[in-house]
Amino acid sequence: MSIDMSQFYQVFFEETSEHLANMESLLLDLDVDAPSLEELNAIFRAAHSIKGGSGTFGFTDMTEVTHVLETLLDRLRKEELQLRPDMVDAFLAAGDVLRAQLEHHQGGPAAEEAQIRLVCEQLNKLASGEAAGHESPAAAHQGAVSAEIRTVTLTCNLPAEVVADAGALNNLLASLAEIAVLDVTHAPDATDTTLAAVLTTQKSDAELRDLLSFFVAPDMVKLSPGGDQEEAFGFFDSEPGAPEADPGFGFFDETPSVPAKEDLGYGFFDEEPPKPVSPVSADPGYGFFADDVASVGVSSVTASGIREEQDRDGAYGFFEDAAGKPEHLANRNISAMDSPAAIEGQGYGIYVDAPKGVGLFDDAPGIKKSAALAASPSAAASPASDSSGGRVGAAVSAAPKTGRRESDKAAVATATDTSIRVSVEKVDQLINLVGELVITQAMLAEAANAFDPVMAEKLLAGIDLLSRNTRDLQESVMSIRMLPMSMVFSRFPRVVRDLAGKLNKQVEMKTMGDNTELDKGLIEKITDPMTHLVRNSLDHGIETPERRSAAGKNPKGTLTLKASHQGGNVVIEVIDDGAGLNREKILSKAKERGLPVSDGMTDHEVWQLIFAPGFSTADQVTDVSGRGVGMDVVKRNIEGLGGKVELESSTGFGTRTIIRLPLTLAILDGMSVGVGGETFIVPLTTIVESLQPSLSDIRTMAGDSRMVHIRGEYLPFISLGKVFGLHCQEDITRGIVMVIESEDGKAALFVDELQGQHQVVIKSLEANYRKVPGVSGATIMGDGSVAMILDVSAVTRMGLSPNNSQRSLAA
Amino acid sequence: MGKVVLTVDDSASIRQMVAFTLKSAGYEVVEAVDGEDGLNKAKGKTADLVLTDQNMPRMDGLTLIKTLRGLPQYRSTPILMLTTESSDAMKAAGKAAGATGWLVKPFDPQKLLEVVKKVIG
Repeated sequence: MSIDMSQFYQVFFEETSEHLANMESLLLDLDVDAPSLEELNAIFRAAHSIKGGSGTFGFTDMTEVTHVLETLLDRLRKEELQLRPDMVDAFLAAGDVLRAQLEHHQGGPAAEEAQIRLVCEQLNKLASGEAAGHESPAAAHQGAVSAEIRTVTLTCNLPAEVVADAGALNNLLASLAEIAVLDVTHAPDATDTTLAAVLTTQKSDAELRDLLSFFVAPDMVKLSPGGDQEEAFGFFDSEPGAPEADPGFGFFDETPSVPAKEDLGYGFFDEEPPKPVSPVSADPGYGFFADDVASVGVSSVTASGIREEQDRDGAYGFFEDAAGKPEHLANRNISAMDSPAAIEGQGYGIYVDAPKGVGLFDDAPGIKKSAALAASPSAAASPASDSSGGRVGAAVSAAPKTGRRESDKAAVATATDTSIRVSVEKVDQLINLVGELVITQAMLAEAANAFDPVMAEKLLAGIDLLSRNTRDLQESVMSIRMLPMSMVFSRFPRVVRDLAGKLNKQVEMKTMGDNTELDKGLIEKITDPMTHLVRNSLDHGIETPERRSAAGKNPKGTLTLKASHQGGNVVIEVIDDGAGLNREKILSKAKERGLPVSDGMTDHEVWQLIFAPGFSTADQVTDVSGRGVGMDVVKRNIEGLGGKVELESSTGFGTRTIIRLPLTLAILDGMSVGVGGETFIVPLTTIVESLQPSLSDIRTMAGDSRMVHIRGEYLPFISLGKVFGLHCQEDITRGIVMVIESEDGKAALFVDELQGQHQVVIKSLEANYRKVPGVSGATIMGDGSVAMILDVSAVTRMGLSPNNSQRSLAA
Repeated sequence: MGKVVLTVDDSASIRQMVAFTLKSAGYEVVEAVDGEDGLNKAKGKTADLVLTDQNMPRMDGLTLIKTLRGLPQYRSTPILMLTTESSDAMKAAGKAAGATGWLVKPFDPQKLLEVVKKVIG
């Protein structure tokens, strides 16, 4: 039966990107000086899961990267290596590579080969305990070549006197550890004097033999290359020089150099059928077959072990345990043993009833206990007690790990258990329906006003209740679309880290109000402007450590991202404690660019200049920012979301950028105004004040334009009725002037009357009708009539150039 | 009715693959997302074979195997450990915990079926 694996890909993709994101945030939180084992374990688990999945689904490129990643992580969590900042860099880079590879598998562009190779080399080097090389590919490559790091499997039978002398043994291990990264796979003891270890070193075999010659005759030392080779395993036996048939077990191995090793008391059988079959059939008393030595697990598995298994297309095996063994299975195993060739093709080994250690031994057909013990010396316990004893032992060792994990993940697990995934369309439909309900409720309330309050007491009470429930329902439904700001903030630690590294600055990032909720649509759109602000803060705001120290500041700058609710708005602040804005520099740049400036401008006005298109005070364009496409785009984006940007800055103390956003895009706080019998909604955020002007405040300018003099300011007078060509109040003293502020500056908007403040449900006019100049949307009022929501800046522009507006209306 | 296989893995993709493969071969499959879930599901419906991952949150594979072996109905049920860790230590631990065998990840569906057939027919 063939199964199409591609049907499982989607789940794998989602899972893996979750793991990658998780890994990255864990890495960024990691305290390099004192990494917690728990975090390292969690990172390891993420890498490990990716490796497992990618291998299973055939994304071997990802398996390779995760494998080297995992190797290093494994050494870290076992505390064999000390975590260093360059390792975190390498991990992050590996994460990026994996993400690129993942995207490639999802149909994206291919990941860069050079980058992958570089990352793997870097990780390998770090795993072998070497200092990280330079970032440049050439240098890294060079380093790898000249270092000639190899993995060597060392096996030797130490003289009994060396083993007995703990000091001598430690000496030996210490001197090995000096020149190589040592991974002892089998420590010698009284029953088995074999020392088996995997060495990662630059030294040649001769040098290693030399070193060991103090302790053991060079010809007793066996070194086999591993790591870059196909495979490398060490095998050992307590009875050196025993005849080949004696040890009672056999290995099938693909390594070609088999015969040379026979004198050490073990047998290797090459995978080609004639070789393995003959020795085994010659001595059928004990038969152990495993063509995949790595999975048989006798002594050591090198770094290449895993890859090798993949090449062989998987491996599996059975433990045969006295307690848990189904009867038929034993028969099956034994019958399988009789035909080694059959097993060979399958790539697995079957174990029958081994003493607790590792499988591969069969009690029944006359195996020698000594041989069994040799392969598993630590399992010297009597066979009778082995199964239960083994279980207890493993239970003890596994327990602390598990306990941590349980507490670690419990919260996460409960969080996922109690949430459901719903498509955004469904939620939007719900919001839409609630919007309709709000309108209906308003209609009812209005109709009920006509009734006598005494006669219709119950009806009115019911309508009151309805309006309260509707409001609550609306809030609850809106909250479904709300996401915490941490969704946005979470991407910045990485951005800050990378940028700070690039700019040679020390920056600490803090976040406040991560749980402040914001509409999903806004969350998605706020990320880009915020990224820009963060880049600006790092590039132009926070100074280099030297300059900060000179100014008496902490060399480490602080960037704070803060979110909070203020009324119906969400306020997001990007705060740095850098140099602040330079008033003189901004003014001179502005003059250069011909912007209307004067030295008497207030700071606030000066800061606004940096929002001018193409404005940059950067002396030179850096990699990070300063290309001049900047703050104006930020401002436009945020105003497009119905928000506002403000700047506060103090020279020497830093800059604070404040973004105010409406809570949601679907509901608007507005003031309804009446003009010529029509109702318009003016967004509340744009209204500064409303007042009734006296005739003396109105000045008529050349042509038809008029100005209003309000609190010392002359503002253009715009009649809303004229803008939309309505028949409206002509007597200025009988109407109302609203001072509105938009990106095009302040203006005085003349309307007939103010009707009241509402929360209105925004309906798209374009979707239901067509685009209308000066109008950003529409809403349905309580009486069922449609009211236009003004696009204040467009109205201002239209009011200032009446000819244009007429033309665009006619169009 | 087919034999019941309980597959325990925190990776949804692996779980999906195992379940699909075994179901299409006529087995009944129960899925569990981690050791604890696996234990609960194992208690709920006695499985003829348990396939468990090792590295899982909340309860790892070894603990699950050990706990299952402590239950009367699982004393002799085949339990296979699916693991990427093919080290001896892991295998020794697996054996000590009472696993019937192991299957090294990555594996393909054919390999899985082959092993499952070998164990429970």
